[in-house]
Amino acid sequence: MLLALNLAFKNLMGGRLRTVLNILILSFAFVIIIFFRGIMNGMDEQMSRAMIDEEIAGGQYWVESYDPFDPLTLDEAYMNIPAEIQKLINNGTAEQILLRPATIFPQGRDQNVILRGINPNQKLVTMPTIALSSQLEFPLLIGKHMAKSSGLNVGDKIMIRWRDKHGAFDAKEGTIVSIMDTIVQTIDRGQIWMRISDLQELSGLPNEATIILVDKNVTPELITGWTFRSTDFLLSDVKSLLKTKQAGAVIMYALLLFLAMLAIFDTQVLAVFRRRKEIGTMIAMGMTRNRVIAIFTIEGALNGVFAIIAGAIWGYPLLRYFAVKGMSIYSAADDFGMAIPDRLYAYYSGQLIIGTTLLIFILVTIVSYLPTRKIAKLNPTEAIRGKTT
Amino acid sequence: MTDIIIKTENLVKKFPIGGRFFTALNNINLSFKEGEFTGIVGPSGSGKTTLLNILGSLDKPTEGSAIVLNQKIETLSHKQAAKLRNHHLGFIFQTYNLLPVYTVYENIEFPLLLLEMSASERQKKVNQALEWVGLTDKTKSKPTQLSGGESQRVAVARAMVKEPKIVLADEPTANLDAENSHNILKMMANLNKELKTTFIFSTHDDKVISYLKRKISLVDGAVAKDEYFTNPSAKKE
Repeated sequence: MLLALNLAFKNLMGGRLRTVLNILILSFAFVIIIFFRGIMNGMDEQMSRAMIDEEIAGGQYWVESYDPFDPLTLDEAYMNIPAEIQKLINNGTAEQILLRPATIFPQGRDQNVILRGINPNQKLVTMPTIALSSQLEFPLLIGKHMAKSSGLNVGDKIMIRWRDKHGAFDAKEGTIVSIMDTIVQTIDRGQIWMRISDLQELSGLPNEATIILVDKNVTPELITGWTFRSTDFLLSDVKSLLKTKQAGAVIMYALLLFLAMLAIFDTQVLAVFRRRKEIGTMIAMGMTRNRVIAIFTIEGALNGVFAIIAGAIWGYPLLRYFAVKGMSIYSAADDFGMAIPDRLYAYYSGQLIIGTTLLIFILVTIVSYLPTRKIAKLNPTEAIRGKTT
Repeated sequence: MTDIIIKTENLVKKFPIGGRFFTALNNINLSFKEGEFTGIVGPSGSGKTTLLNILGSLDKPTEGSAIVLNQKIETLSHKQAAKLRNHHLGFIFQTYNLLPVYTVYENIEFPLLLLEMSASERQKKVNQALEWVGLTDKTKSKPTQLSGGESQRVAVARAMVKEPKIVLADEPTANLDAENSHNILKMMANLNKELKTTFIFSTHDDKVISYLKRKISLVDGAVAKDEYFTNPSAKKE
């Protein structure tokens, strides 16, 4: 093995420019794959964290009839808060949210929205609901995307029309008291937050709620009429969306790897062809064909090892920069199809680094091995003279 | 009494060419004793290299048998043949065939690495081989920095370093000038004398022939003449 490694290393060094180019291409693929996967991981991390911090808390109880993907269910999606949950609310480990469909009329046009009533003093999520403690009669809180799409600013007054529990229309003018900076789309786009007491009163639904946020330390119980949704469940849509995005990125990885592997394959084919005299000599000196194949395969695989080392040397500062300083994608953030932060911070897990390293190494080894199979069929008497049959 | 270490019996080697077969060796019956310094001579295409290849277990006979150190070449697996070459055979080639990325020292050391010899033993043997061929000052040179004569001396040292029973040399002086050819041949003759190594050459170089103790002439794949010389050194004077 040491002999094979030694010989492979020396041959690789003898390859000079060809070796340098192979290693550069391969290390480029290595770093780019880690970078993009790191960005995706970072996005996953940031979004999951933001959703848990700002929306999900430790999980949620949903009224059984509530389906976030079916707006028609909203009219009836409320229920009296049961005693078990009231107990949690009283000790600060749960918060109620009431959802009601409504219409607003920004700049003379109508826009469907969902009114969300919440306790302004809640501490379970990091939304700035405290702004709703304003002394104004009907304070409203919206997200930055909602503000942008409806042209609303802090201090603007907006007419809201809704139907109470009997279906009767009612309307009232509210004041935007704060615009929250959030990347969580589901609490931002088309959502207007208000005090739960206001919404319960306006809808004629006192002590009723649609969603109950619970602290992460609360053990979920079976409560009639309510379904507990864990954080995993509530994050699953975002996760599957990210997976779709990652699947798209795989095409890019495959192309990059294909180019790198092509370079290695080409080098190996050339090596077997150009060095057949050397191969014949090794066989004449008593090396088995398999051992010669091993030397050539190790030589190719060493390209992968050096590429990983080279990638670590030139790629580390770059990857670290994006992990620490992040990458601004403000202009792309709105077009991504899902809420993503304006600045993405790459996150490189051990699994990502080890997985990518192993992937590169295994692929390079396989690609290095394939052309060397020809050695097994090489006639040593011809090879010694530098001929092929 | 000297032992027979190589024997061929009705050895035939045919190569397919087009739809037919070309007979490179035809019914060769030869035996070689330990310590011989033998040349297989003949014009191009007479079968010299083919015979050496079979004796070196790099090729197999089509018919008949080649027995080298009591091992039938035709029955050896790739692995067994490699083992035979590794332990008992040394090769010298017309074009030296040195490993280009290795230094002189490493090239000579290479067969010993295959034998998995200890580092100290390897060092001792390589230094000894370097002394045999007079290249102690070139240990760190790469093959590209050597002249043809020096390269062939390295090849001789590489073949001899493991002190094999048999050295097979295919046209060892074909690429060398007269002076280098004589130097190489003298060196090999000395090693043959000192170590009792059996040397078998394929050659059509008169300079080699003048050093031989035995000359086997091949014509069209058959043995035309098998001559022994009692005093080759006198012959070359």
